[in-house]
Amino acid sequence: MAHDRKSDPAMDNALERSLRESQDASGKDCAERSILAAYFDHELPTAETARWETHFSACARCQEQLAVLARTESALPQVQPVGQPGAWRRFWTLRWVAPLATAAAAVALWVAIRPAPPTEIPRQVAVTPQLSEKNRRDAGAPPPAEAQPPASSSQATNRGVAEVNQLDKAKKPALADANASAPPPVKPTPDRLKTDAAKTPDLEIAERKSATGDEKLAFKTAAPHAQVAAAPSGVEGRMNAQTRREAADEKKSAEFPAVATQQKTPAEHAQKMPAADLAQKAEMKEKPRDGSAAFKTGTTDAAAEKQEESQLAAGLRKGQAVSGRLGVLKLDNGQVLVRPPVRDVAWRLGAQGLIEKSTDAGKTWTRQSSPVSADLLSGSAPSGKVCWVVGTAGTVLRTVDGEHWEKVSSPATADLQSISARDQRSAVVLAADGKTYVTSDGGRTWRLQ
Amino acid sequence: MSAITEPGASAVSPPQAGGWCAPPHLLEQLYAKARAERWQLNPTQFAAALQCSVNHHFRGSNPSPGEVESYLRSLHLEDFALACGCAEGNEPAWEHFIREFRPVLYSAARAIAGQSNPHELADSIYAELYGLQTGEGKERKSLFRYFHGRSKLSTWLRAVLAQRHVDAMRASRRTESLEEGEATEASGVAPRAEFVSPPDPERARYLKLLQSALTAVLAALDPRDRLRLCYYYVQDLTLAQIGRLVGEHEATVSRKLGRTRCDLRKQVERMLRDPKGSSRLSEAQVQLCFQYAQEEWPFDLTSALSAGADPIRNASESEKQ
Repeated sequence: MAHDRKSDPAMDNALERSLRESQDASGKDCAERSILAAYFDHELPTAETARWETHFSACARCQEQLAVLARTESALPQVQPVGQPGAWRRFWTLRWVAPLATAAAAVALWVAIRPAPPTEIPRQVAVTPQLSEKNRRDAGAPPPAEAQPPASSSQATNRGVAEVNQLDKAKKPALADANASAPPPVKPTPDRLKTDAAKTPDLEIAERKSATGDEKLAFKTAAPHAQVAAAPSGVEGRMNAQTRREAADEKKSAEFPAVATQQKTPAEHAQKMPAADLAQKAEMKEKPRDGSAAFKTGTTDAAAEKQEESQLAAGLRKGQAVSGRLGVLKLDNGQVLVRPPVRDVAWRLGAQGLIEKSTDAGKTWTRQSSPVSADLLSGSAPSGKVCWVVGTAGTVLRTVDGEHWEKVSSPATADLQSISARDQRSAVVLAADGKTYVTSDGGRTWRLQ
Repeated sequence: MSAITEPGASAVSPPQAGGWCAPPHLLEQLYAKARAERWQLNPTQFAAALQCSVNHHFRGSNPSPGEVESYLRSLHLEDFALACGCAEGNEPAWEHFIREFRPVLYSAARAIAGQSNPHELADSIYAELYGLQTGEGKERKSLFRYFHGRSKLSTWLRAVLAQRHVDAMRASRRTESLEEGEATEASGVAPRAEFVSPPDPERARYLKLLQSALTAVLAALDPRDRLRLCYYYVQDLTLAQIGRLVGEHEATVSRKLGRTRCDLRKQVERMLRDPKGSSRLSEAQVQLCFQYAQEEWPFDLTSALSAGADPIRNASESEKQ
């Protein structure tokens, strides 16, 4: 029952008069200044606090002094701590300990579960340093000139590998530009790799649930055209994604033994997955075909979900325009390249609402219809179909089919400089004014983090 | 100005608390933690100040070494060392104090005294902190000697200012009350002549019964609940300020105030209606009690509180006389 002075004025009046007149005004046995100050700072032990409160409850003089302390506190300037330990003590208040401890635990977890980094990073991987673990292994076949030849030396094998390796070479100007201008292979940050490693099962499952077509292109095998024909780019097939993936995996293991040694078969992968992940995967299969399912069950409770949001936001604030499984590159011409964790798919963003898409690893680009004319500054593509884009004046766009873009509600009028999306419902944006906004309903509503 | 005194304590040569002496390793740790060397305070001086604080806190008792160590480790040692350095008159300590705490002192004085010459309040404290008020042949006594490290130095300084201000206000109130009393006696008008006798002859009796019942239930109230009520009704603090004092969120304060008031009212009504009690009022009469209370409250409860354990019985007996 909240206190409302107007609800019982008779009692208020009676109480006020009674309390005023029942107080001891003699000042007898009053607390010293040290006690008053320690009480105000909540430094007294519990028993001593209770003892003094008994006195304070009947002593007008002590109450008046405490009232003065309470009234004047807000008017005071901050006192610089006497020494460094004091400043650190102030820093390490409970308000900071919990999130810092959470971050430390997350880093420790990442260190414990991260996979071994590859010894060489091929050029095509350098373009998208944030590929998922599986795609990294897929693309991890070393260039023929540099690595040991595969055990099978069939021409088809070599051609397949060569084609893979030629994905981002000079023939593909956009991606080659990206290569030329791309920074050296970025060592994955804990946030990204944690998301990578932890989310890989979810990503795969999410892809299987949401994928219908071209993002399932993997290696170009001995029969690349057949592979392409099986899942033509830009065509919404209705093949069973898991079946296609498993078929592709089997082919890879047969034709690229060297790669196969680096890559687990689905069965091996499932066997070696932790029981928790297996259970999660089994659960995911029963979830609706919705990209949000991975998000909802990937985090088991609201607290962990909030933690992950915090980490994504922290990554954004650190200037990392990426989250776990996506890549964003700023090109020399000012345009921005957004890569999902799917081979050959990319979006290119630019001024005045420019959005272009490539599904052939940058060979060709198709302009897509953009609902805005604002400059687009960054993007995040958690899958080959779902992409979020942000730009000036609070612009937020989203596609859930990879083709059609819609403008979603804007969290702010400031320029939005980066975004990190988990799926089609959940994203975190960083505004130019340093504020971070989170949505979990596809951008219908945002909350300031 | 009057000599610096603090009730129950002395700044010079206090008695030993059970003969406790700090073990050297503990003193070294505390000295290092306090970083007392910055203020040109040697370990001997620091130890003496710690001893003084211990003696003050445990006076009249015989603490164990563990209790003393626990107490020492709970102190704000850096502030304590700074205060000790200032009390010794060491220049680095004073430079730091002037730079960091003087603004606090003057801001607090402004907030406390308002527009009425805050600098006078702050300057008087400042002088006592330095220890200018000395008699002939007596050593300088700094007000810092009374800081024992149990709170932050800034809070302690504000408590000093608050105490000075409150004592001054109370003194002026007593003077005004006396003057008013003299004036009213001279004019023949009672001090609280606001209410006019109502037609109901029972009004005075109802108010007295209500007064007695409320006094009884307030006396039985938990001290913290009573303190919350006093802060709200008597000191006129906001919910946030009350929360700051009692260590609760203002929403919690609001909720507890409302619940306490509601509980008090129920208890008072029950007491007034109690057929076994001395009042035995009907429901309508109980409501009248509160109605009259809302209109007026001319009584002085102090005399009622000094009466016996059963205020209601006493009130009834006084009626019969």
